[in-house]
Amino acid sequence: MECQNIDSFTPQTINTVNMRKVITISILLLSILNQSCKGPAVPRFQYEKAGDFIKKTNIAKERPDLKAHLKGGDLVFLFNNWQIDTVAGFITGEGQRFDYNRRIRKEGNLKFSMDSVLIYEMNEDLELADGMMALFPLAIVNVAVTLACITNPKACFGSCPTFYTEDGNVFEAKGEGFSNAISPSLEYGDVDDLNTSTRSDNFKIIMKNEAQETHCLKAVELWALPISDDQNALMTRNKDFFSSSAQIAPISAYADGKNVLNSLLESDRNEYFSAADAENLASKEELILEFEATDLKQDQALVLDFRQSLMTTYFIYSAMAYMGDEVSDVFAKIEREKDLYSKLNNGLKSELGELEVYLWNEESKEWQLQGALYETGPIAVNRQIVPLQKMSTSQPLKVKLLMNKGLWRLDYAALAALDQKIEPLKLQPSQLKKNGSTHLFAKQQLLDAEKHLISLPGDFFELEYDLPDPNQKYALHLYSKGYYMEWMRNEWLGDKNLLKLNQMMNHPRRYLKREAEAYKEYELVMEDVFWSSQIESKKVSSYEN
Amino acid sequence: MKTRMIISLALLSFLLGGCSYYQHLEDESEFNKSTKGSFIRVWVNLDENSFEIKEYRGELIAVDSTQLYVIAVDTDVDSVCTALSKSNIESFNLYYAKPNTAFWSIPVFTGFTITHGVFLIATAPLNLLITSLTQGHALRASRSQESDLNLDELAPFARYPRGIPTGLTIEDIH
Repeated sequence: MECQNIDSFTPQTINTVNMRKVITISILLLSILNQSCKGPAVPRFQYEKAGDFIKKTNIAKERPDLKAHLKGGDLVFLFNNWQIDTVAGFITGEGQRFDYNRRIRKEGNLKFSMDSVLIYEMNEDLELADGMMALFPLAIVNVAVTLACITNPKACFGSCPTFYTEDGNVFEAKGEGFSNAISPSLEYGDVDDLNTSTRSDNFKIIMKNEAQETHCLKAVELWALPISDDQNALMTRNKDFFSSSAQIAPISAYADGKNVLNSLLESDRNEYFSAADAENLASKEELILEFEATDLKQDQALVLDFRQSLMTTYFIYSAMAYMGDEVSDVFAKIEREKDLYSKLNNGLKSELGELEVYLWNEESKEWQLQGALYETGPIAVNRQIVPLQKMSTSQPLKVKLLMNKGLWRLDYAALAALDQKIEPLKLQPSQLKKNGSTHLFAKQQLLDAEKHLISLPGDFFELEYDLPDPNQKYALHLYSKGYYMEWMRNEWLGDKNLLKLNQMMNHPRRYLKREAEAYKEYELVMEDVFWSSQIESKKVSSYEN
Repeated sequence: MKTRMIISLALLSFLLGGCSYYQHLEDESEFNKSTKGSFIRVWVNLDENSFEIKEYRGELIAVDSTQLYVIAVDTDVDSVCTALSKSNIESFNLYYAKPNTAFWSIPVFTGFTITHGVFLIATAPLNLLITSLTQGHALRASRSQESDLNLDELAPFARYPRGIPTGLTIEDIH
């Protein structure tokens, strides 16, 4: 499950369900506000006698206009120069007189008897709430975000081919396929643990192209692993599968002296992660786990739910931006010269390292390397195991994770007993729908080993798989094989810097130190957005610095 | 998806912004200079045995102890003064002036977030909510309804605050 991108957040990918909910909630809120809120208190100041308002107008700085409703239905409207002669009983002033149907009868200087007045009216200016006012701060925020995106488009526009189960949304993406395969010659197959089991006769997967990319898919297979009711299926990095019926939670977990145990007890997106080192993006950190002393007779393994931060996304888009308008030349070279991609990929990768797992040997008093995990991709959580060597000890079992700071997010850790090795049933899709319609041609392309199914931005596919025995419980994994071609963004062209590309490829250690400041500038912003956008997710990740 | 969103927003905007009765409302600045009654929408159940509700909307002419008088516009009722029994009135909305709304801001602001890239997933719903709420608030500020005023309290907002003038019949008024 490797993926260098975050295109699940591009404009094409607003989740339909979420958006519908938001629109519905907005309409409901608007409706509630519209119907149930208390209306404004807009008074009409009306007086039966002139004496009632004369005192008020005498102390006013500016005399208001006066309306006099006459007994016959006429209305006299006087501008603010009106005068009242209470002795003679007349009102005079400049204005208009209307008949009972409000047609103008007379204009100019008017004079009428106070006895003819039924009621006087003198109102204050009406000031209604302005729907524009509250929009100004919002507009400022919007423009600021837009400018930020223009300034640093790599922070805003990512990419990722993603797989979802039928009820999944962007935060429950179950897999990110072959996203290190950014060129035809780099095509490879990738297996993702869907972290789902089923007992049915079919299973549906949604595959989306939510990025500015062309996806070329050679195969998308469902790998079904038959297990019993109390078992899970666990996968090693080398795609070996084991059934497991017991998992033991750690009793302690410390990173840089901080207790991070709570983040690792459940697979719940309450993750442990650290910020990158501001001086050197290649700085490492250790996380020490302890498990109750075990004397397992069977094989055991460390189970880890993990994914990457957005750091690798940053690097791959930076690399493309450095290529600028020569990006096609560089990719053509990658096709011709394999070592170029190795330099591009492995230079940085070797500096960043993998997620290494060590086991403490009480007898020799040393940490012994057990294996390492590596999957690129910030969206879908990977579950993989690292088998541990058998050890009989009365002391707590100590496991050390050595990893690059700011690169990894850990959601769950446990010690699993491995029951037996199992083999997956490899299923091809029985039904394929493209953008909502059955598409036999697309299905044929996907099933033909010599051809590729092409997926363009905005395409989505529904893949249905028939399971052989509806009474059997299957743990599900997804195998996807192919490559994709990233579309160059206009915004990146201005960042062309072949010297920096050279530094990234040939001097990655230096690059990771010099790029630290630029990365740190938006690391927190990217993470904040990532988490704040978890509208539908269950929990917010913990943050450990 | 984008199309659906735009259509939804356009519909929302249309529903809220396209109300035809706005054209009959005074501007805010004309509130004090208005020589006519306030604009009112009244929903009346004319037949106790039926659930049919009829809407009258137009100028509020007068309110007396038993009836409310309206010159309806833009309805199937002729533009003459109509007396509505207070006991039949189910609800009403009294409009003081044209609301200071900017419903265009709902699709425009929300649509603008397309320039926010990854941030769109947070800023689009935020813009939709804030613009919807502010416009709803502005709309609500321009009117009162039965929960704000009782029928007798409508009298000051009528063309004739003290009722139909003596000597006039409702046929004379238009």
